[in-house]
Amino acid sequence: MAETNDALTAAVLEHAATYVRTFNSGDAAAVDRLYTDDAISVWEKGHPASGEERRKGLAEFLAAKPKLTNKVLESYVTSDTALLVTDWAIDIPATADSAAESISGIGLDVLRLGADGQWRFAIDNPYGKEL
Amino acid sequence: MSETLDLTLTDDPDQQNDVFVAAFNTGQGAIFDQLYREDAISNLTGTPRTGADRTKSITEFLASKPKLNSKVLRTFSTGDTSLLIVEFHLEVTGEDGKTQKIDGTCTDVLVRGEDGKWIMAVDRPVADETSA
Repeated sequence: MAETNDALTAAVLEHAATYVRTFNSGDAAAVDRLYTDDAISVWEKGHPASGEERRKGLAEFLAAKPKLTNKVLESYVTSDTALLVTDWAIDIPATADSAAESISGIGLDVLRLGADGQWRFAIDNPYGKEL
Repeated sequence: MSETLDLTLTDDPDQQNDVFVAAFNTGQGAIFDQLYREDAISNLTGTPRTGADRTKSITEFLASKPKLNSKVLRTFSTGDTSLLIVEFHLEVTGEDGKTQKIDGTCTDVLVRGEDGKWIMAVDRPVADETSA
């Protein structure tokens, strides 16, 4: 029982690490594969996005070549559902039109285990309980 | 002795919250624990617990008749997974008979099972930091 849970937790933490690497590669299609089809992202406070809006927003954001760092503070992993509390920061480089920007927050993310044995983000809520 | 309480959780997060509060305030762990999946992780008793350990500690805690009041602040829900951010107010009575009030924010993860019903997978209450 404890071993099973340790293995599940390791798989979820591995997924979180894969997310950071994939995000920093800038490959929007690859990042999107780390989400469930009907995932919700709340990159803008109070504005949950899903489906095509979520995919488009992600692709546009990644085009600015942001760099993500992430530390998982807490993890609660059941047989097919996980809650992660994350301390993250993103540095967005300067462009011709805009200065460099840094954003950060404490996220509350929910992952689900798919039938194919892969964990994916179902709810990506980077600002956590900030509403 | 036993109260009739409908423990069915609908798609409505406010209804889900009302059921949780009502079940919690019965003081009966056997009722409240039915809202949790067998492998659910609850932090209600201060540390993550699952399975029989969760049921036992929740039952002991509820036997002291803590009173819960809570309000849903925010919900994010896909077809089968839901994240609730809830504001809670808890009144616990210590062994010395003194009442203590604890306010905080709880993060709940509910999932919809193959039977179509919602059930708690993870809860994570965090008390507000008291300003020293």
